[in-house]
Amino acid sequence: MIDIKLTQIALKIKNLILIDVSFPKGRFTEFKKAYENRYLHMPCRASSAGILAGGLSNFGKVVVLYGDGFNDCNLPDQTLNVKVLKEDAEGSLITLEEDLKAFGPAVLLIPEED
Amino acid sequence: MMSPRQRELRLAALELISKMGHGHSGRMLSSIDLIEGLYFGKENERQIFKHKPNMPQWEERDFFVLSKLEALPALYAVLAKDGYSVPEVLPVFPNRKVPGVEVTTEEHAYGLCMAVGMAQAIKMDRLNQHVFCLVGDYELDHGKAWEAIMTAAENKLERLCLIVDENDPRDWPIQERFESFGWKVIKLRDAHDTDEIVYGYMKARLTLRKPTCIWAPTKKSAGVPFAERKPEYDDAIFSEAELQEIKSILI
Repeated sequence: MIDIKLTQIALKIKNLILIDVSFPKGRFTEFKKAYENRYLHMPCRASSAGILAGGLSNFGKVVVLYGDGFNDCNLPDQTLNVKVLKEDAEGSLITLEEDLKAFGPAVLLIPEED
Repeated sequence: MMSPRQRELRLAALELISKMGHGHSGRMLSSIDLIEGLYFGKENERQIFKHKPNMPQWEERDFFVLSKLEALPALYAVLAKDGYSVPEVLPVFPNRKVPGVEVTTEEHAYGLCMAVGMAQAIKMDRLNQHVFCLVGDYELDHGKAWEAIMTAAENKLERLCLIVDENDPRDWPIQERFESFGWKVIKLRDAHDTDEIVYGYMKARLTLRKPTCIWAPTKKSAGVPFAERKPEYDDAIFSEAELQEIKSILI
């Protein structure tokens, strides 16, 4: 579901980049198919991916991080638009687009999937 | 043989450390010529590193990311000499609020990961810009550094140039490691010689389809004869008397 939802949203947010640290395969097959140039698969590289996202965001990108290893979104520069997606029982996709556009780093809760 | 500018920058950076009351003189001095060569190096009167001190946010500029935190006073001295309006009170960690500083960072290998992200953005947007990043050799002990190094090679980030300041020679095959990940490696013979440094940067700019690592074997406290290669000066803050002595040596 999150794959489809992000693929749809990325059509509207042209500067949206997705970094997926899922292992061994990437989780976002639809997104990758639609926007190969905006998808980075970095399996199990969460410790560098979060910072690398900051570098991308320096160029005005909205960077979405997905996968194990992202518990928070602590960047020393609060102007960087980096969002961590975290599965949670209380997560929702209703306001995802607005939340992604909001200024600064944040953790966004999304619904748990099987 | 140091140029007058290299001498002047050394003194300015050491005075800055003394004024800030925070710094690592020996470790900083190993990097200063690498930064000077980047900002002032020219090829046929054209800047190797595209930048405009009077327009720090110029859209077509190249980027210098300082990952080696100990070299910050050297960067400040170079920025001030180059004409950037560097404020009177300076932060002890790199901060984007200072004109000419591109990345806010407080931890080791952070700048390196940021630089890879910036080079990735340049590739995605097909921009004609380069990212130069200075790292200390000890930063390569961090796992995240090698994660970023792998990512840069996998994505063929040809606009990325990493400068490894190796001021603490160890028995490790830097060249083989980077080459095995798919990087181009340029080893400098004398990393305190401006011509050699500029030549390295020029070659890095021409690299295609892979990122470049400039391997720069340097000396701690380079240019201050009584302190060179003496570990007690690595993290020293020179006293007023020592600064006077250094001044008489350098100027």
